Amino acid sequence: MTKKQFFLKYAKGEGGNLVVLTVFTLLASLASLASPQLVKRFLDEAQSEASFSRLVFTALVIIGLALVGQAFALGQAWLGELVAGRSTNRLREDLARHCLGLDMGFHKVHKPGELLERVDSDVNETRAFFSSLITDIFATIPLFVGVIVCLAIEDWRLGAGAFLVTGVALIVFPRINKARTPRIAEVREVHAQLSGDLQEWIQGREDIQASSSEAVMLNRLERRYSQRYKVSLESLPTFILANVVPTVVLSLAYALAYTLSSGVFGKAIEVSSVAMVLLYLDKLQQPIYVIQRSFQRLSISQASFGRIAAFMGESSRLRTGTATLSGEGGIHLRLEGLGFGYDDRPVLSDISLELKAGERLGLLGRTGSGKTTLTRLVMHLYEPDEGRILLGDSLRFHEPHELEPSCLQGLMAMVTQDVELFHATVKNNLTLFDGGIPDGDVLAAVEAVSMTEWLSRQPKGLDTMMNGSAGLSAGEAQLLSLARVFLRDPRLVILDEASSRLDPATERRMETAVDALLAGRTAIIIAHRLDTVQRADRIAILEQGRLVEEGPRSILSADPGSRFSRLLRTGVEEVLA
Amino acid sequence: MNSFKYLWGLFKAFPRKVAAFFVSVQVNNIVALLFTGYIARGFLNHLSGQPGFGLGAALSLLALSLILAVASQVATIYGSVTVERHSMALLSLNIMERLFKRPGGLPLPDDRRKGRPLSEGQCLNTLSNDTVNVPSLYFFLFDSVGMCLSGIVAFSVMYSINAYVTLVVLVPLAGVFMAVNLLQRKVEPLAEQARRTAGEVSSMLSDMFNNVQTIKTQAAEAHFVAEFGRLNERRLRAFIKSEVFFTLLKGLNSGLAEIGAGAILLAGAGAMRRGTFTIGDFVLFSSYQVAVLGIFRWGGNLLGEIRRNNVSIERMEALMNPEPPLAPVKMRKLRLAKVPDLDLHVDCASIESLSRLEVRQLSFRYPSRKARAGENGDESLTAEGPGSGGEGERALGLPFGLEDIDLRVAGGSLVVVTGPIGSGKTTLLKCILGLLPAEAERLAWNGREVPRSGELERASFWRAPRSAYTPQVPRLFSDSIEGNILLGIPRGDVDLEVLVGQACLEPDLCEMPEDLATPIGPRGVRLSGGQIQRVAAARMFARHASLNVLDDISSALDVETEKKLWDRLMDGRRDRTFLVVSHREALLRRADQILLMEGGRIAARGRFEELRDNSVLFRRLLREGESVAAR
Repeated sequence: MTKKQFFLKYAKGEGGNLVVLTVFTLLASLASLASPQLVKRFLDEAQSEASFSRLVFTALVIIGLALVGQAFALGQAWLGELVAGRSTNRLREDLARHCLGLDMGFHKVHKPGELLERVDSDVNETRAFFSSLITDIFATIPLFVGVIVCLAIEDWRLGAGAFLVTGVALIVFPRINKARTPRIAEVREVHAQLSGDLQEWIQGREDIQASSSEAVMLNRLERRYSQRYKVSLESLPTFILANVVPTVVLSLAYALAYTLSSGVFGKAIEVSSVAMVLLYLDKLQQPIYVIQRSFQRLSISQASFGRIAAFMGESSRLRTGTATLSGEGGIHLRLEGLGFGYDDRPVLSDISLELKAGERLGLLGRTGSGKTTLTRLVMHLYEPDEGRILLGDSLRFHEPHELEPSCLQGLMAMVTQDVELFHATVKNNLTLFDGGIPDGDVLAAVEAVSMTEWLSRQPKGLDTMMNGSAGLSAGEAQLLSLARVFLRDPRLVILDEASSRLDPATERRMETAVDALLAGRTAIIIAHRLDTVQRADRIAILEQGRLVEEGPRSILSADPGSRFSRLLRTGVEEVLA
Repeated sequence: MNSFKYLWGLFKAFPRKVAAFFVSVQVNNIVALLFTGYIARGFLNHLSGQPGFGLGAALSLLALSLILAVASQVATIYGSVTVERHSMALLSLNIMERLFKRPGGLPLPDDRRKGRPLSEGQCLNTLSNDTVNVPSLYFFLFDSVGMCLSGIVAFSVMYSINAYVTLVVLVPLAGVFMAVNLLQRKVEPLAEQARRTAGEVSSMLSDMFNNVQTIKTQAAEAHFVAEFGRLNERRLRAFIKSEVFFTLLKGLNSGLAEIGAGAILLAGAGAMRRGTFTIGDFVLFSSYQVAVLGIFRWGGNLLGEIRRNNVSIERMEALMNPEPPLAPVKMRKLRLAKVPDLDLHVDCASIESLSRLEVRQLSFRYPSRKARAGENGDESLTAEGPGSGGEGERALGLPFGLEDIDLRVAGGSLVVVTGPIGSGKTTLLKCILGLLPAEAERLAWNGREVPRSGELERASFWRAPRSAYTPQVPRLFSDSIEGNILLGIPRGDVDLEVLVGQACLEPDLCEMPEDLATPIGPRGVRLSGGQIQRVAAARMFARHASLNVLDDISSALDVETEKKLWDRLMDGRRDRTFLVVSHREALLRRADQILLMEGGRIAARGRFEELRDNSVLFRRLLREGESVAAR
């Protein structure tokens, strides 16, 4: 997408504002252009026989006009920021939605910091660009045209001179900045390298000491600064050019004005008109530097546009469909020959099992055996490389990717060992910003996980701001994240070591809650401790990505040769930890 | 006043550069603000038949002012880059030098406001941003001085031309101008609110992208995007409010010029009638009034800059703690135009190799952070350390301190430190090497007490060729493998092939695209944990140290490779002493002395057989080692 397309797409709907903005811009320019004319009239009147009160009146009109022009300029600036801000806000939301919707593979590669940088800093850069385009470049053009016309009326050669000055500004500046762009990139590159080195050296200071290389590393740092200094010096000529060109061009304009008005070529101009001409030239001075800076901003924002466009071009590797699944109660889950690997590393192979509506599966296995990956496949955070997952109600089955995303998400809920809490109110941490959930339901969910007493200690109850998980014990955080599931009505619940951080007392509190939650729902429970899987109907044991044992718990525990019964005898903690 | 002391310090470091910068800024200001009006007046006066400049004189003056303007612009730009880059280098080098002196096993110095160690990110931020703030203050200061100077000159010229018009116009204008600039303070809460709402948006985004999985598995994507939209909208409103206020102020500043032009005409109407106020005077007045009003503008800008600077200075000084104030601007020779090369030459003949190392009554306590952790759930503190568990500090993942450590290491021997996780093995190595500030009744090398330096400074005594160390989780740098092994030692000083052999790196190098020259790090090949340890071991061997300290190199080596490594090392050992942490039975059997640590003390010591026969703990460790090996 080019900048123009970006602008057209996101500025849509700002039409009315843009019209008003244009009117304001024109009026502000007119007020500014009229002022030198009035000054000339005043100077003429002062030299003629006009009355003193007439002079005072003209001077007051000049002051009044300046005030009115200022008001329009302010309105123009306000509207410009509004249009730029609203357009880029749309872009920002789109980008955030887009990034959030991408698959977990994308989020594995792109760290949160990088995404934050794109959605925050880069979009801010585009906002600065839009606002500069609207308030500086667009607003200056009518002023430039006006100055040229006014000067041409006085003497066509002056008009031509001013035309050249502004022409240079509008034609040369973008070119100078274009030449600067690679230089700026180079300086940034060296800067990034320096930061990278500094970071490594700060982190590795013990290794540097252990290798007696402190002095050598300081020498390297000095060399990096030297390199940075030299690259900066190399980028100076274009920077200097960008600043000097307006000075030179304006000086030439003044020289032209002096020469023409002295009468060396053709008729001399009246002194009052010369004063007016000089005032007009003064009017070019500030905008020329402003425009120069705008073009500079433009070339800087180029890189931001590129990065945003690259992200917008990414698409989720997860397929989505349009089918829906209706019905209530636990869902029927069937896995057929599932195989999966991250990159080229196989994690799961040939997993088949079936979980009927309302059944609970206890999933056991060592760390790294693929339990968590299996649940991620079921949750459709990844798609299996082989085999398929079927969800349904014994008659009708769908694979996750055939289902409409919102329907699929609504079907399932997962509570993991990593509790993720947000910098938001208690309520929003539980509802995850779903405004449609009444407080009564939230309180009931809190009650269900026996956190009512905790909540009563919060200064503002549900509206207390939480600072992530700060100030919460690990167990409390885990209970809160469990409470989220109570606010939804999923048909499949996955508990991934959800009780791992709880002390025995809290765990007992939680058990009651979990029993209530799992009633009438299909569930997969991953746990370290055996008593956690005691409520499972079926047991599956994973080893190095393969299903080594699977069956009803009662049968497995009764069979002394089964792995499960061996686990029961020796204790899971010893064998699986 | 801190800022000015720093500016003074930097001036003393680069007097000519700063002085040239000062002059160019002044010239630039005076030319830009005063020349145009002066020439215009002379020319217009001449045109209306009064004394002034003819066309020739006016054009010559114009040419002169152009030359001065261009020259001073070039000099200002050049000067700002030179001063900024040199100052930055000076500040950063001083800070890094101090960080390199601080015992490397300690966390970074405390953030004084929060009372816990600075993060690496904050440290990097200080080095790359705060170091720029101080020199950039020069520009604000010089520019303010220039504006004042030009303003005073402009006022004097105007006053000498027509005192009445000057005062009648400027006094009320200055009043309005000052009032407007005072209003700028009122903007501060608006700007603060804009910053806060922007912070909310960033924090929301950060939450969102850090917790993608939760959002996805709880079907909350749409809700989050909607909430983000609301925050976004709120930020825009706050931003526009503060931005428009700024524009209003900015506009009033430039708008005042037009209003001022009207006011000059109003005040000068009578004088013009009488012929004592010419058109040329009017043009000069309307241009000079801007310069005079500039006097009242500088205050606001500069004060804000100084405040920002003081914070930057505070952060830089925190990193250099416990150096005295102003340490960041300590003079040092900088040669950014051409930095001389510096190599690390290890001269083994310069020291007497180790014949005995004695440690008596060594103790060390990690700084307690129990109380601090309670008030703020910082990740770095709650992160799981090796073998964390239990109460208090142990729950925060901090290893034990050390108590009552006595030991003797004979020159040329192999001493193995072993013990359960978290018993203080690593701490012991670091304390001996000065990487952690321990207290000891005696710490002696060949019978002579090791010189002590300040508590937060590592004694330079331990530098190669006395000792070298391979940490348990070594860090390598973005460079080639060779560069990482040498780390400053000239290639000709060591035999890389031998080093590679000693560290058992040959099979790894065979897989590398460019052998020893293969770049590693974020932009190069990613090494496995074991490969990193082997490169670090080669780095240590390159230092030909008398005392070689290895922290559990076996944790990422398979049994075979480790056996080979030790075989080769023991072969080559003559005057080298090894102090290592290990759990491997093979190595424990080879040891001349085993130190068995438990809970920060040495629980038992002796040769393998003695410990096996006498220590329950040792036997249990051996059993655990077997079951690990069997896996």
